[in-house]
Amino acid sequence: MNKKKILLVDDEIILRDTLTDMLTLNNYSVLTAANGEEALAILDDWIPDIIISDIMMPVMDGYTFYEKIKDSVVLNQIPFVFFSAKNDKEANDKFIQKGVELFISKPFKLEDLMLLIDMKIKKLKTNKKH
Amino acid sequence: MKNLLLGISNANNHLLKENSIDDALNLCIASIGKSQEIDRCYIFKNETEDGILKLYYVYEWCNEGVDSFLGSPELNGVSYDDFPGLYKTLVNDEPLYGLVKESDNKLFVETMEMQGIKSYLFTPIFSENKFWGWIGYDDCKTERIWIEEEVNVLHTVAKNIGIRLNQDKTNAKLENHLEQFDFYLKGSNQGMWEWDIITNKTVFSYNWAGMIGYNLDEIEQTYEFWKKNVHPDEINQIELDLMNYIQGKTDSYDGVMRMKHKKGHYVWVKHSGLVIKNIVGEPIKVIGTHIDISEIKEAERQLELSEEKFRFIAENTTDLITQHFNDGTFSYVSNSSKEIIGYKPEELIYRSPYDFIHPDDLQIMQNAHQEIAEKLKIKPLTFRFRKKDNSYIWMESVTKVILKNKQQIIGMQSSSRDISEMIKTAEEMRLNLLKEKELNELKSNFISMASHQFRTPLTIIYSNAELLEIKSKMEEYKSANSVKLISNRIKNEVERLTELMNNILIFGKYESEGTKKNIKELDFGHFINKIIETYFDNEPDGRKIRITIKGKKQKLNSDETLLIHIITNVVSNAFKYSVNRKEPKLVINYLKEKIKVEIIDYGIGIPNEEKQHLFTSFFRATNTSTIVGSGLGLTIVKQFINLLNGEIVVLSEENIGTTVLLTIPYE
Repeated sequence: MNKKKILLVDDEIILRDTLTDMLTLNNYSVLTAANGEEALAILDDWIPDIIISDIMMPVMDGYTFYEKIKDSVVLNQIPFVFFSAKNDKEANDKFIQKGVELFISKPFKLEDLMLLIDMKIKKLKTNKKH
Repeated sequence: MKNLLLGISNANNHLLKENSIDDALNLCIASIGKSQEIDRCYIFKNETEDGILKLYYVYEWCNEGVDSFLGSPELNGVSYDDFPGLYKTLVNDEPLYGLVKESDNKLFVETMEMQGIKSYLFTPIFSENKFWGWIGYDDCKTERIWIEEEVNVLHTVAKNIGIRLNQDKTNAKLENHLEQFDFYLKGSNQGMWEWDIITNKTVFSYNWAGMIGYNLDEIEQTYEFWKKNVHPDEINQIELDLMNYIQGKTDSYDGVMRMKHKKGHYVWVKHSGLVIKNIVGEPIKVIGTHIDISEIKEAERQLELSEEKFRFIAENTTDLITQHFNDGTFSYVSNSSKEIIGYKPEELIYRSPYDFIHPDDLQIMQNAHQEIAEKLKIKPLTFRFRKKDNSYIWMESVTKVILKNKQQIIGMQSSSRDISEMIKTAEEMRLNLLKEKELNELKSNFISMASHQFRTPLTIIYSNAELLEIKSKMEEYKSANSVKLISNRIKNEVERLTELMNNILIFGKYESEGTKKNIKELDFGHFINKIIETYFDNEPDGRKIRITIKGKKQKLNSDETLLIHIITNVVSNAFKYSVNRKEPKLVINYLKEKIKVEIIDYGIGIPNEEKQHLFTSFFRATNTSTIVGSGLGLTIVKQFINLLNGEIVVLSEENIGTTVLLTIPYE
């Protein structure tokens, strides 16, 4: 079976390591980036099945990164999930408006994260079917 | 003749003496008749009726045994047209006399014979140069021939009658005038008085008495009555004035005084007098007037009171009260002007307010000036006014027009207030509100940012705990290394959380209460050594920090706790951001007024663009992502160094190192 590919974007190295370990143990293939810019560089030659990104990051934050993804013909179909660590109703509302349908807030249970990832990937599949 | 003259004399007396004209004439003709042995003596009066001059038989005296024809219709209302000859003679002021039988007027003869007259004499009476009538003398017994002297004398009597009649007419006119005069006099508010100096007799007029509430018959017409009714405060002076005037020491007697009214109160009276002197210049009488001026006096008093009230308010108010002529120039300025705008009232009178108003506000004033002419009052105005010391103050003014007779605008009145304080306060309040808003925003930002900072460490701890669970089910868990890796992560995060929590507590405490200083005398060098020993002697990589001291040692008076925070924070940074690099250095420099402390590291430095954010809460430079930090350390250091009245300066170059310069004053 093909491993599902995840691009993980977060500026905290320890968190990146932790999540990489977790996701790898669960049979995902994980690549990480410390900010939006790095992530875009990776996306130049590697298309994941899902992108999970933090919001508050230096150099290029989560919002800007998301805009860039959506603007890209190649990339805008990739399912996108935010770590909404910033408990900002305003910002969240902004994204609900734009169609980022799901957030997961820190800290989270591994179980919940897995569910979310599966759901997102499946949804894409169903959409693709149509 | 003697008899005749006596008779005439009597007749004249009557004419002179008798008050009533009827009595005078009756007695007159009686006297003549008796003295002349005439049978009848009578008077005809002329009256014009329907344009025809007629005779009327008005007075008659008859001798004994002679018939009276008084009231006889034949003799009343007889037209002169029937007796042209009679008329012609008499109207020329000529007597007519003769024997009846010799007359050629048939009617005349008839009339006379009817009365039994044989001989007649008629003398015309002229009054005011007009043919008034005539006296007739009848002789019924004899055909008497009238002697010329008789005729002349009797004609004289007729003339006297004429004079007497004139007098009466004049008197009647005079009486009429007097009546009118009396009427007008009563209607006026003037009273008249008269005092005969010689006899002490006084006369007061109807109005004189009425002015003080009496009818003329209720008062004594005496000098004493007047005296006792003049106000006791005034009577002495008034009497003196009167005496001086009468004696010629002064040339007028007039003034005002109070007279006691019947009801008991006093009325104000304006009096004046004129002295009448006799031929030799001696004063004999004084006549004068009283005019009731109570109403005027009262009006004066009311005006005075009202003026007093106005003055009191104007002079005691803290507002500026001004009055203006129609062109806007000041006509009155209250005393408060000195205090409010630095000018004395006299410095402003006749000047234009436009000279003092701020140029930017001039248009407002001009508009208002126009508006007030139409609307009579305007909404409060706000403008700047230049004080004597050339500074401007904000003033608020309320203005109304001053009306005369409710129609004509004769000026404007303003009440103005210095509202500079108010405006300043309002501005301050606005700024304070803004500041508070900013602060609140900052606080909520801080809180949201602080809580954000917790999330990642917590996530790491939780996820790693989950990892442990997963791994425990798998083969790899037995590897001590992988467990160690995970537990290290957890421990690290807990440390991080702890530091964060502590810093937030410190910072938060500072924000809410303000940190209080506890000043003590310190030996700085010794102090630094202690800190290094306590906290930084056991660095994991074994590095130490080298301390150098320069300058002459001096005692420092400062707060230990704050200093500990500052130093530990900065030194900790020095170590933290220079891992695997040279050892950091600490240099103490004792200067004249302050201590200079340099903490130098040879670590990663701070990127140029980010230096400005160094002291911002939760700021972490981009090159620190691998190094744990709360982002609050330098924020706290800066605040604490400010509290100690010191300064902090950070010099840095990326990848070369960072120097933190602290200056702490000795006091």
